[in-house]
Amino acid sequence: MTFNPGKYWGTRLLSLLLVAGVVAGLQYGILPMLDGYDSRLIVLSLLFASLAVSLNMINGITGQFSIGHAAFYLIGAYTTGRLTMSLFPQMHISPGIWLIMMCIVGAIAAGIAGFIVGLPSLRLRGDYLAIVTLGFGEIARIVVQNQDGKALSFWGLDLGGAFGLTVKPQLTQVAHAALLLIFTIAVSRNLLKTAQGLSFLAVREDEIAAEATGVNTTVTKITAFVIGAALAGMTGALFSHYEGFISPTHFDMNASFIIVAMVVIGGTGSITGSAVAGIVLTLLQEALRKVQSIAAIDLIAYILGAIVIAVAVSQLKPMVRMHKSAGLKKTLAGFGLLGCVGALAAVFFLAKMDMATVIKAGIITLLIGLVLALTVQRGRKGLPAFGLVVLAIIADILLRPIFAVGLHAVPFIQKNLGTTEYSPSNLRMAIFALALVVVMLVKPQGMFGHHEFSWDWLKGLFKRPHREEEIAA
Amino acid sequence: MSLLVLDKANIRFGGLVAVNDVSFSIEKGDLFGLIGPNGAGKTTCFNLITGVYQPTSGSIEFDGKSIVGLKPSKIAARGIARTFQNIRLFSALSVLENVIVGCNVRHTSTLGSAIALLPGAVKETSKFKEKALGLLDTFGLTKVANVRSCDLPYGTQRRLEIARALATDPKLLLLDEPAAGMNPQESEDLMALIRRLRDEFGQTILLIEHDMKVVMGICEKIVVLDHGAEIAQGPPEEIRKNPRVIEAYLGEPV
Amino acid sequence: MNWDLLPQQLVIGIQLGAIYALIALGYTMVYGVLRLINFAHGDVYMVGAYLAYYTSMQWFNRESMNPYVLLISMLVVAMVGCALLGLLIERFAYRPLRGAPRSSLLITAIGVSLLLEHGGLLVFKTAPPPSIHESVNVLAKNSLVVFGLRIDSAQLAVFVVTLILMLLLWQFVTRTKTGRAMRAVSHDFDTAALMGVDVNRIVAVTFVIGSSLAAAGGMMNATALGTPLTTFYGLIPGVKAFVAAVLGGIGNIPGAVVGGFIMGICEVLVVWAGYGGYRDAVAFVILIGILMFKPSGLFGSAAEKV
Repeated sequence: MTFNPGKYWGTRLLSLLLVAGVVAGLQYGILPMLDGYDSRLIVLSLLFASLAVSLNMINGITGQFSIGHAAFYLIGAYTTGRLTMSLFPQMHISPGIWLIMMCIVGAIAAGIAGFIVGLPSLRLRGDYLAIVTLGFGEIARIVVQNQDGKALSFWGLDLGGAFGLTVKPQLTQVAHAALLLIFTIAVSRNLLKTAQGLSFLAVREDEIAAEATGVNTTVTKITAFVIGAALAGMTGALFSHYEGFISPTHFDMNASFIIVAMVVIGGTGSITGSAVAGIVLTLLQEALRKVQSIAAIDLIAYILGAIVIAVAVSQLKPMVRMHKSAGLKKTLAGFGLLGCVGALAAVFFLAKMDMATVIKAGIITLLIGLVLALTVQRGRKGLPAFGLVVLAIIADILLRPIFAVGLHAVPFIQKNLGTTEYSPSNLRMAIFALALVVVMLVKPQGMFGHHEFSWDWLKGLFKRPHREEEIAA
Repeated sequence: MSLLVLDKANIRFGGLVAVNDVSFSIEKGDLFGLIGPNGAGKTTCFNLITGVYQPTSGSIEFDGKSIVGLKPSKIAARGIARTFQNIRLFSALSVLENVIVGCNVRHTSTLGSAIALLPGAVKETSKFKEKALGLLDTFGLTKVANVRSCDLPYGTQRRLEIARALATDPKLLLLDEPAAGMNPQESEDLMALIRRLRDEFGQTILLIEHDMKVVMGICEKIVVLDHGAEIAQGPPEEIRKNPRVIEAYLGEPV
Repeated sequence: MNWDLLPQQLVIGIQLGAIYALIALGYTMVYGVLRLINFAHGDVYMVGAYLAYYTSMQWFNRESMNPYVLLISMLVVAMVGCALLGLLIERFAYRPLRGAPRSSLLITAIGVSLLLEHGGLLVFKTAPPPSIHESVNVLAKNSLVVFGLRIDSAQLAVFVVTLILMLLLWQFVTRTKTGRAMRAVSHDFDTAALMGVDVNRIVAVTFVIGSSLAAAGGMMNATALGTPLTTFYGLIPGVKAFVAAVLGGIGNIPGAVVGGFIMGICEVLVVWAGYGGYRDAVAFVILIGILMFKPSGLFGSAAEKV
């Protein structure tokens, strides 16, 4: 409990070594194995994870609902991008140092913006604050869109307007993005380890009580906005120097929404959650690019299959609920998992189907099925998720051809949709949106709730469970 | 010198005069009661003292200095802590964390050192933690230190709120209906606790309470408010007999 | 700035404002009962416009039909279709999340919005962006001249229909039992439920009304202006209408109407003044300006009690 200098310095040193090791491992161990596309994916997911963690500082930890985070990202990206374009060629500074300088500049520029956006948070609450932050994000984007050096530009500033700005040279590397994410996580995590950090949480929980307990809510809220914005500004700096090209569309409302979605899906307030959700959602969006086009009739067949599963699950659930013992649940889950893998393998070998098709079909049916199953019934606890995967895949294999044939036989459908194919670009965001809704329906608290990742569950595996201490007066 | 002096404090919301020329002064070590019927302006009085509202006119002095116009957090730092009528805990935080937030008002380390996790901030945090654990011990909350505060039973939440207020090292503690919603046994324990705070810790306390047994039992001096105005002031025996108080509030002698 | 054009621009502003007000009503009503910013509302407006398009261009024969009957049936199809859509959204996306954290509800709303926009690409005709044929808009052929102002009867019709719908809504909310229950729910959800109000029904009714109003807006705007439709047709108007609702004090029905007109007129003024590039930003500038002085909107209620 007491402060132990030896342990303190030991931990610091160890964590620094760990960071160096992870980054070096990523740069020299993993990176050489990847092609350009994959490494770009890694950088983007790291950057978005940083954005999510930095927004979590404002939304999750301090409880100020801000949905215009892309603005800070934009300010960081454009300020540093423009500076690099006009100054870097004349300055003889090593690229590494320049990039660090740009990160600092981006942080300062976005931090100032964060201060300005934070001011309304002193008077506004909840949804009113949310819409003001959203408005700020839109204003920032529209202003940049008009800065093309022509009539509507302020002081004739040229940021490329709607066409975007090219940033050369591209200095950012994977290691930089990884370091930034670690730095961003460290800022929030360290803060929460101290008494000072608790006052940020206190503001989130109850502003009036926090103020009465001596927390200066004004300073706290503004600080959270400045820190969150500055970190997003740094991310912007790295992004513009990675992508080599930035345009207002990179920072539109959708970008802001996706960052908020990462925070909420990760579990508002959970740093781990934000980081994980940031990475997963970015990867998911990109992975969906690989989805092939799909025939309209097939899609309807998926939906029909999903309805069948939904009905099945809604009948199944009461059965599962009857057995409340945890052991049985674990066993069921275990069998479910095995069954799932088994079913996949069986389909793969027996039906000689293309693996990608199986997975794709399974995922689509599953998603639709989940939405239906979840929305048809109120309670959502104890959902046999693994069993559902199996059901979805089986139903898909068995039912889809039947439904598809049946649908083709209906003249009206055949005439209107017989040859319609949906292109992957249209499907991508639709599936992404569906996934978003599903995650929220399954886990309204987000993946991690308010919790952080810890190794405790590992220890728990080897211990006998003990009853929680009674909470009594 | 009096610790807290209200002089003709006055606040109006639109046409409504919620607190009308209320004056009283609290000495160090007092256990002071503030009573009156519902809507008499007791909680508004608290809100004036703690800076949630600003008085329309009149002065409020604490420790010889005016506290009018200060933010509630400044006033808390000066040494006035409070609890709320409808308990306001930091629900998702643990019991221990709730109290540490209170301790943090005395922090000296900078935010930067907290973010960098410098030794200063870490040392301070563990110091606060010790202090908080000490307080939890006093209030019999050690067992539930790591329980989320919203999971506590009602009476325990009230005790935690007092513990959190005390963590700010107040010179004056304001308790807003601490016994509300408690059963007779709980409120008796609470009376003992409040008395102990005064006797053992020398804490000055201002108390709003409806439970006459509690008020008459522990307060040495009482102010009675009705419709925002002060109608009586004095020791419990006098208050009990005061005809205006009986008419406005007590109904018949307790 | 050409001062001679100003009055004519104001007429356009009022027409635009009427549309914003119609959408804003849905936002404000849903917010009133559920405390939810229904981001999908703007997309319901888009679906309304599409339904009107399909009614006039494919489902009905516009050559052989009386044009006025066609216009009315477009309005009815759009409103009924979107009422159903609103009902579906509420039932399947929002109702399972009653009692969940509000941020989760918000993300779900964003998800539904994205789903309608991108899923709509699969269902609706988008390439090339279709528009309602100008022959459908028979009203545009006549125009009134009042004090030298040319007001075409389509603009007038938009304004009149909006006004009628708003009056109907107002009558409904203040005079009927369901309307009273709706106000009770928006005042205090839990207490209303305890008092025996069937909250689920009220929320469903709210979505039906809000969505059909938005659909009416979508139908009228798409017909009167003949703008090409995409599935993102509702994005910007939706956001602006939401701003209008906040401006008037979200949850407040007359406030939403006033906010809508302010929004429409200001936008037109900005374009008129030669800053067309900033027309989408002006909504937010006004919003931030007003909220700084009135933190709960023009007609919103005050802050929390201690």
